[in-house]
Amino acid sequence: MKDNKQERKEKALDALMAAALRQPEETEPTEAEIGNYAKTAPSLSPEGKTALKALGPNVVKRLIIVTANAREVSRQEEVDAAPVYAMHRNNPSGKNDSQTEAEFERKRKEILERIKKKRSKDKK
Amino acid sequence: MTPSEIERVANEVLAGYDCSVPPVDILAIAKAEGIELAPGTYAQDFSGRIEYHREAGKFILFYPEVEEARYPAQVRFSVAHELGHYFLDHHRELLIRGQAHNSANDFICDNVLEREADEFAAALLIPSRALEQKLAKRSFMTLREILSMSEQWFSSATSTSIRYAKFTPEACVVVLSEAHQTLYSVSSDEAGVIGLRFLPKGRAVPQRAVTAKAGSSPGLDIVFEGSINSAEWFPNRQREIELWEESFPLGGTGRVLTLLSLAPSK
Repeated sequence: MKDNKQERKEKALDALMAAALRQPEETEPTEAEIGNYAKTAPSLSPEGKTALKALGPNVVKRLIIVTANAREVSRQEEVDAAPVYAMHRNNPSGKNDSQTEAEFERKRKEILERIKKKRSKDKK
Repeated sequence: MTPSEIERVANEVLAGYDCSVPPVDILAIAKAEGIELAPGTYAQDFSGRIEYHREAGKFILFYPEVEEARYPAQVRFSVAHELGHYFLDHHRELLIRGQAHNSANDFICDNVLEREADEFAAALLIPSRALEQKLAKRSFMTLREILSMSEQWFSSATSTSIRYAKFTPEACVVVLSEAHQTLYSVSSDEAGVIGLRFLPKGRAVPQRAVTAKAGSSPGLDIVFEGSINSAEWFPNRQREIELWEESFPLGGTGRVLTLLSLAPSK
């Protein structure tokens, strides 16, 4: 079980992350509305303040930078991971040797002739 | 197309043929679609090809005989991949226009299309519904269990592991390595959240990792396992945690499949 201090620290961090990631709303609150809210908002407990202080300076700024880097990494990862499934392809160039090309030709001929025969039989 | 759109198409195909319980009979699906099957004796590096023949109004699917293949699961994946080119609308349009037939290399080298077909193949062979049902009973699986599932479902160990990482709510990372260097890695969402996300291609496998042992034992049919500090694999992660590492040499390919997950709490 997490101790209370750790839990509070995590909650403070969650709140900061939520604030950093929150998209601006269509109607931004006015200064007066913010002032009214600030008057009634509960203040941080001494433990909360300590937890916040322990996170160091410019927490929101650092969170935003980390988020941007994570997005960058995720794109990079996507590029690097692209051929993962393609591990089954031993021949990514797609060029085939003469044996394979000859087998294609034999199979094509066989199948197309069979279809032709069947169609002409069906017509009769 | 997004992976979820591709997943939807694969699920529709599975539902349409009432075969959402693996192993999925992909050749039966192809046959039912009227695709002409052309199993044959092709070169060892050949995996699969689909062509459209206008004069006959038919698709022909070339693939190595599954029974004769060295790695049957790979052939199944290739066949499912070619079916992706058939079932995904914009792929089929290209095939019907003759692009696959007349300029095969261009088509094959188009990474976006290839990747989409790969996603489709994985979704077809390892159906999301079946995987979700497995994970509903227990949210995590060991590498041994994943390998056993891939055998039961006739799917490749790599693609089954990747699908597992995509669906499990647990933190885990699937790593593929070769010659003691990472090739690719896929993290579960939860692993990404806790900073076990990015392993760059070409990073040296940690010497203390069981993956290194597995890499030196190609062809050995056993799962190596042990605990390892996260700093060994993820040196940039701020906090160090204990991970549980399981590694399996992929036949004689020289590649190693690794599953990193959180070490069980003591």
